[in-house]
Amino acid sequence: MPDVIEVRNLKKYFDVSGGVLCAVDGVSFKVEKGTTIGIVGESGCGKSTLGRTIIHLEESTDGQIFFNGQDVTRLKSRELRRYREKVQFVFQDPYSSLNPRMTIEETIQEPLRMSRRYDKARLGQAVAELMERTGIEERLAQSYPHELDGGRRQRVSIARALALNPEFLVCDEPVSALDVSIQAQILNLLMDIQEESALTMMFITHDLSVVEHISNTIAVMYLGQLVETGSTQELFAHPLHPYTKALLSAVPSIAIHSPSRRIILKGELTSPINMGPGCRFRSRCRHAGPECEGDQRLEEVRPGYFVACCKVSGPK
Amino acid sequence: MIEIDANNTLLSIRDLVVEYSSAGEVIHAVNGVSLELEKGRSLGLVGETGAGKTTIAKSILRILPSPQGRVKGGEILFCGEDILQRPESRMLEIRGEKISMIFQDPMTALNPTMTVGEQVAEVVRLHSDAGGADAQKVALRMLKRVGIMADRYHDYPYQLSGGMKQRVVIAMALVFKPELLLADEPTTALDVTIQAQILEVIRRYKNKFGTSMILITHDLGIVAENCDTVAVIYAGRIVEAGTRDDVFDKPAHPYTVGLFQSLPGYSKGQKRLRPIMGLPPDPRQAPAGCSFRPRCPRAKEGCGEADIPERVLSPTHSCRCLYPEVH
Repeated sequence: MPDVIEVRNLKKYFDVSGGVLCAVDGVSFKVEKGTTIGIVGESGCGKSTLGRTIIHLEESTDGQIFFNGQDVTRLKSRELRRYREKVQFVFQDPYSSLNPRMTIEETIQEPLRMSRRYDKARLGQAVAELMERTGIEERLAQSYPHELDGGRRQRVSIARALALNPEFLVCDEPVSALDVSIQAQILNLLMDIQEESALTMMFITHDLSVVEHISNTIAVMYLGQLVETGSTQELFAHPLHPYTKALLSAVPSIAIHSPSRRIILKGELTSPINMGPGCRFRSRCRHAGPECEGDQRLEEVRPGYFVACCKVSGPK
Repeated sequence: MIEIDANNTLLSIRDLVVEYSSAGEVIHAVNGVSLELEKGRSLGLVGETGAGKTTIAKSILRILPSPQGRVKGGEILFCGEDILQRPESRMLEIRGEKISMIFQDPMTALNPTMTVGEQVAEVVRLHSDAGGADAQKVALRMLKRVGIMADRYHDYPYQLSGGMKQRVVIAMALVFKPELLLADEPTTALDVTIQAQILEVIRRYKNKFGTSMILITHDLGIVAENCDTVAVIYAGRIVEAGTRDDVFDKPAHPYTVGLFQSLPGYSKGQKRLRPIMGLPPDPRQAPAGCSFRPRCPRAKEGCGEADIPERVLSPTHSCRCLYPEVH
């Protein structure tokens, strides 16, 4: 399958008081058509900024973004608008991403109307189809967001994101605010939609069990950089980077009869302001040594499997 | 009722009913909850948003929002003393010294205009005879115990990360070695690696001082690793209770079963999750019969008629269902 999205050495820096915040600092990966990449990491690691930069909600500082093989890094006006129809975003908080003054119907209709591709009659039909596809009851068309529960609101966000038949959907913590029973409904919906329309997705989350369920490949991010990336199965079965290992071991497990060995990390994620050279995880890493003072590159340790740690090397 | 050793009981809640009134409407938050907690043990109170978990904890401390929140019935026996009947002056002693609470958002418990060290020291001064320097010493020691070094004593809350703030709150809650700790989603706002650190702090403290805990959470994994017993709450009622192994190995109530099946990773390799259909009931309408009935795959005639009686499955395990899962 061809790659729908490819980013090469993508950077997004912010000027802040005290220096430069390297939110995304040289990230490269590809996403094959019809698959889902899970971006995993803790708050402040830059995963949301990465998603926002790819779909041009933030202008990248350096590096390249390719969409279906075309360089879309520096798009302007009309091309940018066309690109944005093809890439859509679902936010974590459906309470703040929906306009409280618009009915559900108006909300879903808006992108269709803006595209000027539909006349009035077909507009209504398209909205009805989208609502059906995302499991929103017809009777809610004239309701306002505050009248809906969190799960339904997230369905509305998804319906709106799907309105213009995007090829790439970035979901930023779309189920984090929902209770597990509702979360499962939304995850099923996203996977059904992907199957129907060969949608390519980027799923940003801190929830490792969710990401394991929904992703084909996973990229683990730490302070603006990828530390490990590969197939979901491999990454969960044999994590290699010390950070990934600690992260996976920290997830509380319901398997009461096979307790896992927990690696408790020292310290916390520091802020990525004025980052010096060297491995960014080394201050918390129990394997850190002098060789970690140098920059770490993602190396292919198994076919299609990359790790950025000098302590992990060669095919395993 | 499950048999328990009365001598070893720290907390016993019987038929607790709590209502809120808002804009002329009555919200039935807790509808007859009974719970038992033994000394030194941890109870996991599990349920979804709005199930009444936090309301139960606030009832125990008698910090329900007034005048909207009211305890309409039942009793809460703490060391044999019905704290619902005691004057506020007694509650001032109990809160912080005997029973403490940790909230989900540490900022609800911290004063943004005071250094974190002083906030801990203030608690010490309020509840003991210790004066300025002595209180500071106690505060420093307590902060160190939860992993905050002396050089952060003069920091303000905004200078600390979420995990550090939660450590300060824990230090404040535990400084008087309370017998009961109410931890309301203490790590929900934190990243998993920080969550692991915080739970470790709580665990170590508990083991050292034999503190009992009610851990309120929606995360079954956290319950699995931190609790001896579990109570599953739905629409203000305990629908299943038992030891951790009872509930995790043999979930009996269809709601409990549904919670497990909703988890990604519960049945590995299965592509579609099995969510619970529908939504929790409207707490404004007092439900007749089983409140889970509209969402229940096992519901039959009879589920909608009268209140569902407690059904004892084993000496330690009970549920409120006419047709529980049989293992």
